[in-house]
Amino acid sequence: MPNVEDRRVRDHGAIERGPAVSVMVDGVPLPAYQGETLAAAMLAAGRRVFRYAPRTGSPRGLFCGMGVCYDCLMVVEGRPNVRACMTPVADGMRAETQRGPAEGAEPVPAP
Amino acid sequence: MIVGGGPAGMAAALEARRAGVQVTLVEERATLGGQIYKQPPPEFAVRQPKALGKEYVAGRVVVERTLGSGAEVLAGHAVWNVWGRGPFDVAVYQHGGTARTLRTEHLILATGAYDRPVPFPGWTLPGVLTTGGAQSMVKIQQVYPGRRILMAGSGPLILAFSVQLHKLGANVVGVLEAAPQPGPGTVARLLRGALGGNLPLLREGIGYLAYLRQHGIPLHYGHAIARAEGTEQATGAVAVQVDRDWRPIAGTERRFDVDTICIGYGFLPSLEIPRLLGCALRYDENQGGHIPARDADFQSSVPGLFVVGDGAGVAGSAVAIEEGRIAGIVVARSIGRLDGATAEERLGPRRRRLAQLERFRAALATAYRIGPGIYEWATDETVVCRCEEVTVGEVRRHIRPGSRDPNAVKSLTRIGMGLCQGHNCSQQVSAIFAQETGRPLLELPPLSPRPPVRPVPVGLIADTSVPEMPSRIVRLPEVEVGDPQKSDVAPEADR
Repeated sequence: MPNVEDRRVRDHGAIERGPAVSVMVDGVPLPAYQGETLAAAMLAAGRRVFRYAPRTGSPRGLFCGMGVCYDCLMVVEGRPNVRACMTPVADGMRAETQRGPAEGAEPVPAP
Repeated sequence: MIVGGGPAGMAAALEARRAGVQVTLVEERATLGGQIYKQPPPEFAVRQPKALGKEYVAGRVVVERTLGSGAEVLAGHAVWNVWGRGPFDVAVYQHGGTARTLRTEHLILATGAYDRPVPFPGWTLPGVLTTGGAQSMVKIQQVYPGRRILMAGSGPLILAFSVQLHKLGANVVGVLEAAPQPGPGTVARLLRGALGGNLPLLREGIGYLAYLRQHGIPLHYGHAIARAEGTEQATGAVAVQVDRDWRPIAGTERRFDVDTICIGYGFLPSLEIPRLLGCALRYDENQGGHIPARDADFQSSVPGLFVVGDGAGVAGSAVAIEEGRIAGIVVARSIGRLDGATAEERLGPRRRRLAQLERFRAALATAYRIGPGIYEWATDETVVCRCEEVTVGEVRRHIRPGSRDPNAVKSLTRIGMGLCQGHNCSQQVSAIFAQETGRPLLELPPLSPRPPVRPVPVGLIADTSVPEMPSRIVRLPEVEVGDPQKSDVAPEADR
């Protein structure tokens, strides 16, 4: 596993995390703990860019942290526009930085 | 039925259950608690509850009581539409699950509030986040959002959050408070407001100031965030001195070497459902702008629809709890589960407590009102609609002097049409509109809400029992653009 930084709170032992798991972000494994959101796992690894907005390409990350701003969107298990702050991690979960308009969405069948 | 499982919703549920009323409590998150009573994920074990703060501890108690009260709790269920006007048909769906419609005669909305989005140059950079977001990340997820944090906001909560984050080990390097340092007049008003049951609140505030001083965290009164610097993410912040109306004072910029900026300039109520139902509104800037008009029982202009807590106007959790309790008691009385006398017995102390809280809130509001200059921190290049990436300048260019309604701008620029459905942009867009047309903010209608108020997969709500319909081709007559005589012609259907 590459040497990722860890910005988790470690000091006071007020909370004991769930079991350690691993999530794949852009093909790179990131350590995570059961119960964490994908956003938390990203920020813990110092990864703060979650997507690049479709029109201007501007980098976006966590803003509201409560699921109302829809900025922390990533492609999760092939599904675009998934709010990382509302998505609990699962071992082996695959996530990608979302670039441009949503790709990989299922095509609408012709009428 | 109660929508929203935060302090107000849970308080309403408990009072209704106490009177034997059947209660369904719908909450879109996986756990109850809302924002202030946020609970860590079930997979985390809490070893020292006190270290998570008194709200967590208090919240745990209420959450457990609610779960054990006999109320039907539908957690992880989002409301995407409400039809009807008594009875109400509430359309809910569960993430990764099913969708259904629930019918109810009495609907209590307790949908809470969210951090006020404040546009300023660089505000979309990763590293700029709300204090609520920072608190969730540090307290609940136990992860720091960055290495060096500048807090920028106003009011007692920016102090409280700064202290809380620092206690949890976050590197808070400074706090910007937009309001001026409280002078003797303000202090006197706060003291008067604090008497009669509110002293603990005031003591808390003083404690926060002492903590910051003790830990050498500078508090800059009369300062606001001017811009966030960086390309891929925030790498610096620039603050500026502001006047009493929060307007930036030229030539007073100062730079902070930080990678994270937490903005805490109050909250805005989540109003999509009351507005879908056509509730009459009134305007109060300090409670978040447009809020539902309510009677003394917190019933809106739509009979049978109650709106309580921060979702009706931001006044904090203590007020939210009392409002929730009152609505729960009133609904119980209206369906005959409580006689008038018992209801009054239960309502009396709640109303008295509310009056007490109102005194302190009024004093705070004078000291920490939202300065109108907050809407001038964005420049023409600043993105105002984060979802559709529309700048302030683009919005301005689409406003005509005679315009009365910001919704026209929505149609022309797509502001408010993105995934967040106007949560991030509507306040600032209204302010731009007010500036351009000279109309006061309070006269401008907010952006029209449209169902679904939450993104919901079509497959989940499509009625597959309806057979395929033959398509009808409607051919519109040829019209010349801008020809007033022909614009009223109705389309003819092809037979």
